[in-house]
Amino acid sequence: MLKSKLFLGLLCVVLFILNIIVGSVWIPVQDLIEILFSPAEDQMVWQNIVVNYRLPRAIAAVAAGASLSLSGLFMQTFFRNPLAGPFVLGISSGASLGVAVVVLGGTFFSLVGWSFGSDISLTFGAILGSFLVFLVVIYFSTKVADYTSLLIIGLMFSSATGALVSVMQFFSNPEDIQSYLLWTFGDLGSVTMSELRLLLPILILGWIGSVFLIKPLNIYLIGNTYAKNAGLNLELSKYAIITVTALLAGAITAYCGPIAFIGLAGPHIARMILDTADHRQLIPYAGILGAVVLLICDLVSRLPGLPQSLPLNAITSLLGGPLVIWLIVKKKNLQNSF
Amino acid sequence: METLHTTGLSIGYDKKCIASDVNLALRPGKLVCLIGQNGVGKSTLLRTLAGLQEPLSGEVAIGEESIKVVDRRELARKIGIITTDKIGMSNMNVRELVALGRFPYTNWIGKEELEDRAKIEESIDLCKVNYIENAKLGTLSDGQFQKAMVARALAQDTDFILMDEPTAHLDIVNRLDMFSLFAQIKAQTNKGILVSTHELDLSIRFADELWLMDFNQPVVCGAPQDLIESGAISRIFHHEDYEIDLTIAHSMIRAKRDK
Repeated sequence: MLKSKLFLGLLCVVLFILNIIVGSVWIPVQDLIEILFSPAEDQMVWQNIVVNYRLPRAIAAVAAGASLSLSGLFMQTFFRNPLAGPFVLGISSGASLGVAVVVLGGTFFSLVGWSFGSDISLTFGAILGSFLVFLVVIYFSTKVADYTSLLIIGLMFSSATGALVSVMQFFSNPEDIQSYLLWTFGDLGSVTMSELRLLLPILILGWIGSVFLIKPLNIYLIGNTYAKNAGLNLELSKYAIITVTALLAGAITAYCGPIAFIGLAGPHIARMILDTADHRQLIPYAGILGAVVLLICDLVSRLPGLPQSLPLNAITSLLGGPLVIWLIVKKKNLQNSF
Repeated sequence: METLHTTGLSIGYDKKCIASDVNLALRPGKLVCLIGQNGVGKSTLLRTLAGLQEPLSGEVAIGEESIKVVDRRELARKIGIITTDKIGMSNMNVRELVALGRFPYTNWIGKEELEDRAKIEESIDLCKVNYIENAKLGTLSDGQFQKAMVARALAQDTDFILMDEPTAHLDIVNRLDMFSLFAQIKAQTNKGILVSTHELDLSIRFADELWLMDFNQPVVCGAPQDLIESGAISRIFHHEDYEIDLTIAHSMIRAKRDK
């Protein structure tokens, strides 16, 4: 157990460095420290690449992988449903709608004198969209008692927003549709250092919140009745779990697009490797595991020799799908891994 | 220790009242069996007693204090419950399950202190589940699982433990095991134990008191032998064509002579 944790931590560090040095331009690993802190005249180009492109991208990969994996873990435990992921509450659908309004509704908004279309407003649209959905979900969670209903409400939201987006696509020009589609592919490369300065504090807040969810999540495993009898404040912990999940998944989706799969697979892989249901172990492990998986996927998406980086979501699903199927077949039954 | 009692309690869901004007008292150091037909409101009564659902009217109190005003965490140290809810999928092991009983005592992250460890060990010992301590819940038999659940309730260290049909699906040996475990817990810890059950023979043999629930009737309380003689037990299980003769029930199960 300890060995696999140490191994995972080490793997994360190695992959992080690999993500910095590998790409269309190779950075010599032995000079990395020098490049970062006191670059020689001829190393300035490398420093520019590392500081402005590779480093923010690698940090974004770690942050996004960890956050998505954690929010997936919370949703799976909260709903006691192995199919749940960070986006079951409709967070990414809300973000998509926000982005669609910004991108596809651009023509409309310019008519009334607003100008949208830059990357900043994409992010803004996504944040606004996911925040609105979050508010609606919280509202409904006060109305329904059982969590399955909440799950279904989330699904309905996804369908409805998906429909709205397709209506908007129908009336939009091909260029706008393409930029919307590019956003839905997920992208770590568009995250800049200055964006990280805003994104990281939000995520760190979510990660700190996650630690406080450990105890409630553990008692949730044996059901709400026992959780209540054990003295858990069901209402408060419900809101806390939804809020932390929305914070993590929403912030990542806003900055990197709806990155598929990590949030679903990360927690499953963590549970299977650790063979435990205890969130004290699962939370750190699932977090680092998510970071590792996303680092690998990002590395693959821009393997040397490719003319440009491939869509991130294609890689996460292509690599991750078979991995999860293999794990399920090996374990025979996913339900028992909770 | 104080008693867990009800005054003028009406129970049910929404507007539908299942039983009204229920006045009962569960005393420490007593094993009480709650008996009645399916659908008579045994589970609802247990859930209401545990504060898991609101009474329609009247109140549940521990000593002088209504459980409504007792702090959530404090209440969790007074009343423990084992329901019929399934814990479906579980990769949790028995030790972890029992440890969850310490939830109302541990700090914000659930750190086990020495006292928590001692209680967990003690509960595992008392329920004799040491041999499956590291077994996953998913792999347990029904009998093992129920004993693990009792151990969890014991670890919660409440003054009262309420159990909803804890011996359903168990064979006669395991049922005997469970009831003698209840008697042992009662004797060793002086807790008040309320068990809703359909085991007439075992209830008569082990319970200090029976509570008989019937549709639209006040709950009848009394010592098993008295209730057999008065015919009260046979009355709540009325059947058109058959009747139940409980005169031999007490002698059906007896301790072996050399024990």
